[in-house]
This record gives sequence, C-alpha cells and structure tokens, in this order.
Amino acid sequence: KNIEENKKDQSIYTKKRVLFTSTRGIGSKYRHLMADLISLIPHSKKEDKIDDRKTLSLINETCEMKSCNYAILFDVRKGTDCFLWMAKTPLGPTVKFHITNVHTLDELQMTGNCLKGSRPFLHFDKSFDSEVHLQLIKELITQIYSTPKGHVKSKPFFDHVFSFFYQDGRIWFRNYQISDQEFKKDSLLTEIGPRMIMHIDKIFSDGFGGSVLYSNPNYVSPNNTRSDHKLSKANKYIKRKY
Amino acid sequence: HLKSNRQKYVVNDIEGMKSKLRDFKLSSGKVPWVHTLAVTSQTPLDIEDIHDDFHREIAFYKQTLQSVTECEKLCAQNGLTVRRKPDFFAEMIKSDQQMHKIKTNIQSEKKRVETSE
Repeated sequence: KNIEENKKDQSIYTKKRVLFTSTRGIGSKYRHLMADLISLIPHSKKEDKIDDRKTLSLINETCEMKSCNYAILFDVRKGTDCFLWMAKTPLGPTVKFHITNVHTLDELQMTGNCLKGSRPFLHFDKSFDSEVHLQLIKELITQIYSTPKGHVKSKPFFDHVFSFFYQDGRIWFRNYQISDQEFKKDSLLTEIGPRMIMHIDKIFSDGFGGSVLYSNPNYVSPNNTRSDHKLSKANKYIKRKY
Repeated sequence: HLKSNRQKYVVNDIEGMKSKLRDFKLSSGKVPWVHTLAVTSQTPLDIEDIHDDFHREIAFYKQTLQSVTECEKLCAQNGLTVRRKPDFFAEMIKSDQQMHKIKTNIQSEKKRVETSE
C-alpha cells in the first residue's frame, strides 16, 4: 500500500507535458529554434499555429484537450521580433520574454552533440535567487525543462546540461554536452546549441492572461528601439544646422 | 534621452508573485533532486564586460562545469548512472550528416588559416 501511495505522490513530478505552438508568420529562423527545443524536450507536443493573437487564452483550452499542463508559444511579429511565452496552464503564471541573439542547432560553429531524449541537468546562476520575479521564472523554467524521470522517450544516461545565467538584465541560455569518453579524467563540456538571450518583459498571474504581476522597467520593446534609431538618424540634418 | 519620453507603466507586485510562487511550486518546493536535476551555483557570475564574448563564454563554461561535477556527485548518491555504455547507440540530436558538415567546416577553416600563414 505504501508503494502505491509513493507512486501517486511521484505522479505530480512525472505527469507533465509541454505544448509547443506558434503564431502565423513565424519565419524560418524561429521555426528552427522551436524545432530544436521540441527535440530537446521529449515531453513536448506540437500544436497547429494560432491564427488570432487576440485570443491567446484559448491556448489554455487546447492544453486541456491535449492533456498538457505547460505551454510555450512563439509569437513572432513583423517577421523579426520573437516573443516567447512560457506558461503553466491554466492557473498560471505566464512569463513573456523577448528573444534575441538566436543560434540554432543547424548552424555550424557548435560541435557538441547529445542523445535525443536524454535528461538534461539544469544549471542556474545564483543571481536567480536574488529577486522574487527571478525566483518565479527559475521555478517555471525548472518545471518546464526538466524531463520527467522514467519518461518513455528519455534515456537512462546524462550527457548534456542546460545552463541559465542572469546577466545584464537578461537570461542567457546555453546547452553543453558532457563528454568524458575521450577525455577520461575530467568531464569536458562542448557546446551543442541552441543559444538565445531572453529579455523579460512581463509576468502574468494566469495562463496567457490575468493581471500583470511584474513588468520590467528596463525592457524596451523592439518597436521602440527601432523608432529611437530612426529618430536619431532623422535629426541628423537639424543637428548639423546648429 | 529618447527613452525618457516614454512613460512606462511599471509593476512589481512582490506579494502577488510570492503567493503565486507558493501556489505553483510542486510540493512546496521540496521536490526530490532526481525529478528536476537542477542545481544553483554557489556564487553569482562575475563578468566585467558582458559584450566581451571570449571572457563571457569562459565564465559561463566554468560555472556550468562546477555544477556538472556537483550533479555527478548527486547522481552517484541517488544511484543514477551518468555514463553511457560504449555499445549503447541511439538517435542523436544532430544527425551524422550535420556532424560531418561541422567537421568539414572546421577542417577547411584550419586549412585556410594554415595557408594564410
């Protein structure tokens, strides 16, 4: 009877699934990034693209239908700006990031490789414990990215590590291979990819909705960056005149 | 100076976030390590210039390496095998074709440097 109870207890850690979806017009680069993450996260499920940005809360229902309890949405606007939404559905929280500096697995500079479906170690920088909104993000990332123990598609070995660093007000993501087959003494790391920088925009209380719990004061939207850039250029002649 | 023109509506609801965190943490954060495999570094990163690619990557690498050794210890304690058996073959994240491409790319790069010297 005790064992049975134990099994029931464990199911809250092992019964999880992440729904991956995107909005229309995602573009090749971010589509590749999404495909990379799907192949790295064995407990994931891909869903059709979303037509309407105004009703994102419908994702909660899709999750329920597909028996997923987490969701990741790639929302690409104007073909260039990628917003990544990570959510625990349906009760929340949801974090909205702006994604920059993306390198996918298909690029040639990263030489590492790992088994498909092996469970990753997760590494966090200590800075994540310093503030409440970072603690919340750390917890959400841990729940989404950690592969459940004994998952059907997972392997009983460990050969890669996901690293999350908090630097310069952004979250930096790296994925390293742990290899010691050739180098017997210490384990050596080789980067596998993908790479990305996640800029925190907002944290919402529910799944794709609810009240705003946090909005980053240092975040500048890509639209504003562009218009600032344009303005600084536009005033070139006026400045020269005086 | 341009940024200051834009009034931003800033929210930092610490109490709200704390209660949310309590709500969605699995078993109030006391998840056995074998289920998450997550570790946090002992010291925060110390990087002088984040835009200096080389030093930044070295710092990232070192911190990750520390955590990996920590994880391997924890694996041993929890009775998990870390190393893959040499005769265990399975599908990899990157295909053989892709790995071949990467190798030839490195080799051609090496050759290019050598010839230029």
